Amino acid sequence: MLNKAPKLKSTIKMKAKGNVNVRPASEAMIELITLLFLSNLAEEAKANAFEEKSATIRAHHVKAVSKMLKKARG
Amino acid sequence: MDLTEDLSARVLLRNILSSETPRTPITRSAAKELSASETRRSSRLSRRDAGAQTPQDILRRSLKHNMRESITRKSLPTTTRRTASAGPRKMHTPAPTSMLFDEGDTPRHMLRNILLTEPVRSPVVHEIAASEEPQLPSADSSMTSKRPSIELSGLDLPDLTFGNAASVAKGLSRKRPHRSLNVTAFEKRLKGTSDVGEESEASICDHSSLSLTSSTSLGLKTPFVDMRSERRGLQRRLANRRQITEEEFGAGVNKWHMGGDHDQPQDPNMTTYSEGFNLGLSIVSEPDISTDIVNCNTALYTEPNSMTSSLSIVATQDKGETRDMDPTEGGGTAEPQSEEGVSEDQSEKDVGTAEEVEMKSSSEVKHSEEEENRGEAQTEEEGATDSQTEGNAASRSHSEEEEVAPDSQIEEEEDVVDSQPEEDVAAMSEEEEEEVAPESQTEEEDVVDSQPEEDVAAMSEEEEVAPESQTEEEEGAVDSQSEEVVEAGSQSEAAGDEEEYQGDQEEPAANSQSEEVKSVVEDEQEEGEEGEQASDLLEHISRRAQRSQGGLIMLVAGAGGDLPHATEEGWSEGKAHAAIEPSESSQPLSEMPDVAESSTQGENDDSQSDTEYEADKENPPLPLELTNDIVDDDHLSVAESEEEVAALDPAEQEEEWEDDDVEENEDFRCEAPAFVKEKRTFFPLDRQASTSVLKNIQTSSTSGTSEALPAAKPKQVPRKQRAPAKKNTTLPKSYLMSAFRHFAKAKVSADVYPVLDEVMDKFFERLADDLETYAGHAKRKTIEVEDVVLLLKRQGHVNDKVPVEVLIEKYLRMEQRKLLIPIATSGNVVIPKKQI
Repeated sequence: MLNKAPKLKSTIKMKAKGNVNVRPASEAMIELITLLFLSNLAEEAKANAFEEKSATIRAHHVKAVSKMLKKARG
Repeated sequence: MDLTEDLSARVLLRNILSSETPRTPITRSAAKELSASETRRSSRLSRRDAGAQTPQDILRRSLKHNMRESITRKSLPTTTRRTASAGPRKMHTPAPTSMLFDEGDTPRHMLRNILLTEPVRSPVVHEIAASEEPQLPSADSSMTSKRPSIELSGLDLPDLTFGNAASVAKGLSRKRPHRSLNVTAFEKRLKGTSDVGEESEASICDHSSLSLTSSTSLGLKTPFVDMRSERRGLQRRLANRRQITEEEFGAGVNKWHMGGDHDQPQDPNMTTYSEGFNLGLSIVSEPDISTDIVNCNTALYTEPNSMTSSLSIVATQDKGETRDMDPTEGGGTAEPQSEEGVSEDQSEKDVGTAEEVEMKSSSEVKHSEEEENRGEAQTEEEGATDSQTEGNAASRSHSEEEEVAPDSQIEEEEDVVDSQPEEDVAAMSEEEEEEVAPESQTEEEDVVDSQPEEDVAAMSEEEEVAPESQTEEEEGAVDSQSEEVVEAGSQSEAAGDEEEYQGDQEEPAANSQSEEVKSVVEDEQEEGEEGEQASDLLEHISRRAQRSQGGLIMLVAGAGGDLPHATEEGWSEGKAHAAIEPSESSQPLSEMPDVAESSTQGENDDSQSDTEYEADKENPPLPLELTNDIVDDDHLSVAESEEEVAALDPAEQEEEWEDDDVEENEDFRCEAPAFVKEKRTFFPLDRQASTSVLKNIQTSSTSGTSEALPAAKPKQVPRKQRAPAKKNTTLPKSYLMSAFRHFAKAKVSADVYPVLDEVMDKFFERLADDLETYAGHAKRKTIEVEDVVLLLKRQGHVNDKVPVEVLIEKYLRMEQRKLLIPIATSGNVVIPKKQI
């Protein structure tokens, strides 16, 4: 959060199929949305890792969580 | 008296009640009043007079007590008055005594006195006074006698009654009265006797009382004493600690100094090694295949021919020939390797093809591959060549034979005349199919003037015999080589060690291969140059750290002699020579020196530096040294040179990298050091290489030039290639991981990054899609804030309870917040400006 999310705008533009512009304000909002998503993901992954009694979050934890995404759907 | 004599409980109780009741209230009240004012005094006095005046006080108290008792006894009612009067009398009298006396009557008083006069013997006096009381009245005496006993237990007020009862009950038995009598006797003595006697008695009484109360007093005092002792103990401990620490500190400092000295010299080596190692490892993956290909081509019989032909070819840079060579040579293994190598590094292909063409002339795929590798290495990276050669070696030695193969190859190459050695070499080369073989062969060819035809014949012969001899010779050679290689690898890092290693390499190599190799070596000696190169290579390998490339290269050039070609040819040739010579030593090492050697032969510095940053580094030192040791190193060098030459090809550097991967499995030990060496040499060579590389590249191969320039630095090549290739839409790792860690608030392993990348990728896809849809729905071409807010709402992040602003304030930075939330400032100014 303290760091700027580099190349966010360019990545979004790349992903966008059509030709869209992104305002700096909306870019900030997009950053907000990504942070929210990351925090949820991290939280779920942490819970998942705790269930497996591991203090460290590993890749398979994150993978398992990503399958259960709900909020990521529009 | 009468009462005391009367043992009945009732009587005793009556006496007690009669005697006490009048007193206690009076005494208490009076005592309290007195004590209230006098406690202070008493305390002070008691403390002061603790030792000295206590006997006097005791006497006084006893006297007063007796007076009291007598008075009280006479008339109860009068007692009250008298006690009252006695109280004031007592008041007049020294406060402490009266007060003590009064307090001593009841347990409360006794306790109070004890507490007040704790450090002092006042309690003792207390008891004496108390003891004195019972003297007069029987009941009193009994009571007083009880009191001392009670005093001990008299700390508890309620116990008094019990105590009294107990004492009364006990009093049934005559022991108590005895005690009381004793006390009373003392008291009597005190009364009757003079002060001295009283004092003595008092003192005695005190002692007795002390003994009685000693427990309590001691108990009270002990903690104090303990504290002191404890403090002392602590102090002592501290002192001890200090001493130890000082001494230990000195010792520790000395040790540290000693250890530091040892560590320091090792550090640079270690660091460089680690750096080189890491670098090498990173690049290892690529050249594996190329090395395989190169190895395949390193047919024994083709080696000598290929060596010579390669040299010539290199000069001519006939790519077509090399290409043709590939199919023709297609020694099966050679072709795939060459193909692989070519396919892997297209940039190298050109060089490789050129080399291949050369190989054709040598009539052996192996040679071509090696050449290719050389050429490629040159163009791309010298270090890569080393790795390639290493890789080739690795690829060759699917088993342990790789090491032997280069040696055998080199040997074989050298001995065009001797079929046996050739066979051996061929066997080795076949198995290993390393660049070294072709390189060495080429070298040999040049030196021995082995014609391609002869080489082919030799190759064929060698090939036939190769399988047979290979197993035999290779095994022995492999063992020796492996050992050497291991040694080389281990020692490669240390410059100094390298020299030793070389010696070791040479020796074991010589020993192991003495039988087989010697013959070859002898033959090879003819090619002296090669032998020198081999030895040089060996040395070079060990001395990779030392980058006397220029000098070594010169030597190599001189030794090689065959490679007049300034361009890649000479460079490749040098490799061949070098490869031939240090056959046994780690293949990659040989590659390096070979390259270095060849480069020296050719354009020397330029060529070497160009193609073999890393390899050359090793080579230059090797050639110098190798030249010195020809005989022993010949066979070794041959194998090595072969390897090196093949691997050194700048164009094939990448291939080498790839090959190295393949070879890694088998010649891991060799490769590691090779990489390390390569890496090390890489840095210093860069300066030289940069310029030389450019020259070489341009001269060597047009195709390689473009690549050579970027290839000058291994990093650049891959970067340039990748840059235009794809557009990576993943967030930077640092940002992603830091954000994730922050939100996770738990340890996060680094292996989550690829998964995270995937997830974010999908997320962005969906995000962009949704936003586009929303904007499109609003018939806009720009994604607006409201679009994102709508998305947030739909996702559930924003609801009635959580407005958007809250989220903004929570997660975003200030500058972003300013954009989103208008801030009103003075002067009716709102930030940001709202544009209507």
